[in-house]
Amino acid sequence: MSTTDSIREFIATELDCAVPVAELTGELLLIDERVIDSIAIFQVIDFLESEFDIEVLDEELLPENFSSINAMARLVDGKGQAGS
Amino acid sequence: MNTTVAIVGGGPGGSTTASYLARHGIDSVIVEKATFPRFRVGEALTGEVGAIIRDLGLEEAMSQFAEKTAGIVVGPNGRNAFAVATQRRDPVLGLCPTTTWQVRRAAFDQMLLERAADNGVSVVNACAVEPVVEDGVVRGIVVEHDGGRQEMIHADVVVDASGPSTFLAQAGLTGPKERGQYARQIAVYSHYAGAQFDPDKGATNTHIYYKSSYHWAWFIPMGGDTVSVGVVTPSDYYRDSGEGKEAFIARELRELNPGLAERSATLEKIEDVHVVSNFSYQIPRFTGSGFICVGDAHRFLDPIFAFGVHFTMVEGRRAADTIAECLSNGGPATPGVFDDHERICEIGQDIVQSLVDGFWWNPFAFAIFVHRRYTDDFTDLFAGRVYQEEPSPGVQALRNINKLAAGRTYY
Repeated sequence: MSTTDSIREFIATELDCAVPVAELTGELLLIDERVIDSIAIFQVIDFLESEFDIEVLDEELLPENFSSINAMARLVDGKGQAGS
Repeated sequence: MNTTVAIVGGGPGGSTTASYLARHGIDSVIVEKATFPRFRVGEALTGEVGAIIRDLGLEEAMSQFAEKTAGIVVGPNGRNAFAVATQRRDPVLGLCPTTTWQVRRAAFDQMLLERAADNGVSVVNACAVEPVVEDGVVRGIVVEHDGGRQEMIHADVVVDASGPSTFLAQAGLTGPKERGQYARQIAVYSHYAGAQFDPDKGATNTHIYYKSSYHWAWFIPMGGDTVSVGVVTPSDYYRDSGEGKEAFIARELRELNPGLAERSATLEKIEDVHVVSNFSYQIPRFTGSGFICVGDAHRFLDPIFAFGVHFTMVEGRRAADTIAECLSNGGPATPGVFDDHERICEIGQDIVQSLVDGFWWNPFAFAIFVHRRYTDDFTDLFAGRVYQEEPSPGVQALRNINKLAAGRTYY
């Protein structure tokens, strides 16, 4: 499963998400849609760190890194490249 | 009249300074123009202020007010965003649960002023007119009594605890008053009775409800069924509403946040509705030869984390210690004698400013730092332990990310 698919599945099944799965595109603005807020962010960080075995650094805790599925995938995949 | 220290203002800053001066055996005179009790908006106190209250022997008298065990922030959807428990730092045990209070200021301020008087402090019911300055050194103040009679109070030190009147800044003795970062805000507030609290104890704690960036409300139970409620919004939003202050706050209580709406349904207003705008400011060089400004007399931040009484009381206690030190060592007219005091006070104010900035600019990092990564550091900060010379790792992380997120809005 690709990084984006894995993140999409997490959002659809684990978060309190009012957006239908079919509309969960990679660029959908999850903060504007209130899918991700300062409560959901805890689940998001826990998921990203455990699922992809990464550490989200303090200075990466910026909303633009969690604003869409693609943004989160870029954060995760960028770390993979840096480490390889 | 002659005294060692003349204090302008009989609020918590003036009374605390005077009581701690008395403990050092230093006499002081408080000049207060209002007859107490007088209205001030009801407020939450930090854990550190709770410690001062206990130190002044006032814990028993505080039973009339609401006990605070935590501060709770509720997000736009009515869900709790985060809560921070009030904790003290024990030298052996580390962080331990403690309590502080949320108060009706009219009664609280009177109690502190009476405690100062019990400690031998003179309280003069008069209006401070102007400072007396000789060769660049503040030597006292001129006061005006009812009926217009003026009197000079000679003093070695003048402490300005005049709050937003900023007495010494108005007289041009400090640096120029600058608007703060959150200056274009307005606060509309009143006191209410009829509050209903959930049977669980946490319901009497301070609650902050927010709707969007810079648009939030405080809900502070003050004892019995009374509560202080205020709405803070950008000034433009208030103006564009076209509403009077009563209609504005009544509608905001219903619409701002579902959690607030639920708790406001039973409220009955027991005070006038007050409005204050452009309330955030900062005054540089707030100490000098023969004078010290405390609390709101030199700086007022965004009030979201309720540090107002904290700053004035903690700075007042510190001012008393600083004055005692200088009286036995060089004297208060020595240039730069209060520089270190000023620097330490600014450390605390700057740290709370960073907290406020982080909360608005990047609520995600703020929540993760508070609850996951730097919980102990943030517990200390919210309790008012904000005077460390070296910023703690939590403060450092917050400041790093504040630089990246400066000025942004997310809600």
